[in-house]
Amino acid sequence: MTVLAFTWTEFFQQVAAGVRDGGIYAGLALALVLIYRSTRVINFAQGEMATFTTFVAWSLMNHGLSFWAAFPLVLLIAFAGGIAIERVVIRPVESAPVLTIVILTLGLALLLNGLMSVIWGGEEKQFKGPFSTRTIDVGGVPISIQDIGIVSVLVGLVVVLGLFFRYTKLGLGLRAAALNPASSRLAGVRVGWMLALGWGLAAVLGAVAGMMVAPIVFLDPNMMQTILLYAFAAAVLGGLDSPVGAVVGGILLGLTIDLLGRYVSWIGSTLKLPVALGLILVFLLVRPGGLFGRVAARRV
Amino acid sequence: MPLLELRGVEARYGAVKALHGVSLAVGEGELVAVLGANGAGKTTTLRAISGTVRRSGEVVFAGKKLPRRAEATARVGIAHVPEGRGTFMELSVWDNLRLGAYTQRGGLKEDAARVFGFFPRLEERRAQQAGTLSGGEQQMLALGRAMMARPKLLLLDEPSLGLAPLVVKEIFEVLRRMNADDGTAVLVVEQNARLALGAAARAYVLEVGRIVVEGPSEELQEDESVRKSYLGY
Repeated sequence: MTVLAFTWTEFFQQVAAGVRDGGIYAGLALALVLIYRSTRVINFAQGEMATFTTFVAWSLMNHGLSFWAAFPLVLLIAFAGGIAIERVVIRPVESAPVLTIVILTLGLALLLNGLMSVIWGGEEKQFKGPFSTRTIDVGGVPISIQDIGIVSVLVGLVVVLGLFFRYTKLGLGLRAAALNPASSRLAGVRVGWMLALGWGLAAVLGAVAGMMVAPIVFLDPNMMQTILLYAFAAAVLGGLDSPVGAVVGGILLGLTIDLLGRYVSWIGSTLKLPVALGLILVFLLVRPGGLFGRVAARRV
Repeated sequence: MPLLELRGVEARYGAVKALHGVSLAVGEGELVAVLGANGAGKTTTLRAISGTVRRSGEVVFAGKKLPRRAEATARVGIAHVPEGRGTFMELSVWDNLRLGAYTQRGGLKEDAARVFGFFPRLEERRAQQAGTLSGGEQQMLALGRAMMARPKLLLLDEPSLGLAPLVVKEIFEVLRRMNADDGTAVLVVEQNARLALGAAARAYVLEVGRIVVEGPSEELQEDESVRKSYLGY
């Protein structure tokens, strides 16, 4: 194995790529957290849902729409689709044990995967992203416009979501329904709809992550599978209960594995995933709740 | 016609029947107490009204059949401060109050100002996580949350539970003012009969899921047999 010479320029390029990858993990991790914190269900179909909506984007663009014309359409479709899945698939088993619902989401993942193969075929497709891969000079370091664009879109999305949760009534209702469904009902919050809305928002996050990652990898029905693993890891690292944790966890994870893969020669690109998971395992032994997972302080 | 009327209401938890046909009424702007020993069905009576336990029998509120789902009862003007107060422990005091006003449109600032007028301590702690409040402050917050909903009827479960006498006095004073100044009807469940009869105009006494005594508070207080056998003082 050859060891390449270290340059600061390349180091910063690696950091940019790490933040970009981490941003994508963060988007998907945030989607997982949104569903987990209101229902304690880990949605194994999150990756396939994201890929499915990315295929929808691909089809729209194939019919002549530009990326930015297709983008809002796809988000709407994802939102409606997420709500529909909750109402049709999850709602009937709402009071079933969590494990039952988790297995149902696994089934849903297989179903969506099969559907994608049937509709779009199993072979890899080129997905033309909205950003040029040209580099521009950022403080002496050439960084690709694509990396900057992806990170900006994801940061924008997270900020909008954060404001929505913090300042709108609906956002407050969503938080309340996740934390204390019984009290929320007494306050007049329609808890059932809040769960559906959570699925809708999670689907939107997944769609954005999918459309951002597709130009970097190739689009095929299994595109999000490895990424979903990283997103799980990111969510657990941040604390499955914490949206902030998912974002921080995702970016930390992206940075760590990209830098380790580049600079620790025995890790390379093949051992990135196991090393990342190993690190998280060790971390969780010290802090089982994750970085931001916390138990509310209570006094009686 | 009373604001709220229950006729032959039954409720059960699985196979266990908790209410065996309860009939009671609360008039517009009236303050009514429900008394009784542990397990008599006081909490269940409130839960049957707000729709947090399955019920049968007839419940009429403001001239209409009352819906059976908690979300819906909140929307027709019933605020239920449940057993354990229902505080959103992880949220700030301010967000708890915002949730109280969830069914309201506008007027958030004015309503909050009124709550802070009653309980200045909540204003000092508005950014604090509700779970870190003392028991008394949490009870104030629970009452504040209910006030934010501008209810026609307030259902209040054991407001004195676990609180220091001074705090209890403060809570009941605010309750009295909500009732007198805003005309909010109140149905309060209390273990502490003397306290409740002091505040309420009328009272019902429950025993194993049935109403056994009812009447104006003074009469219940003066009737020695009622006091000895049901109220325990």
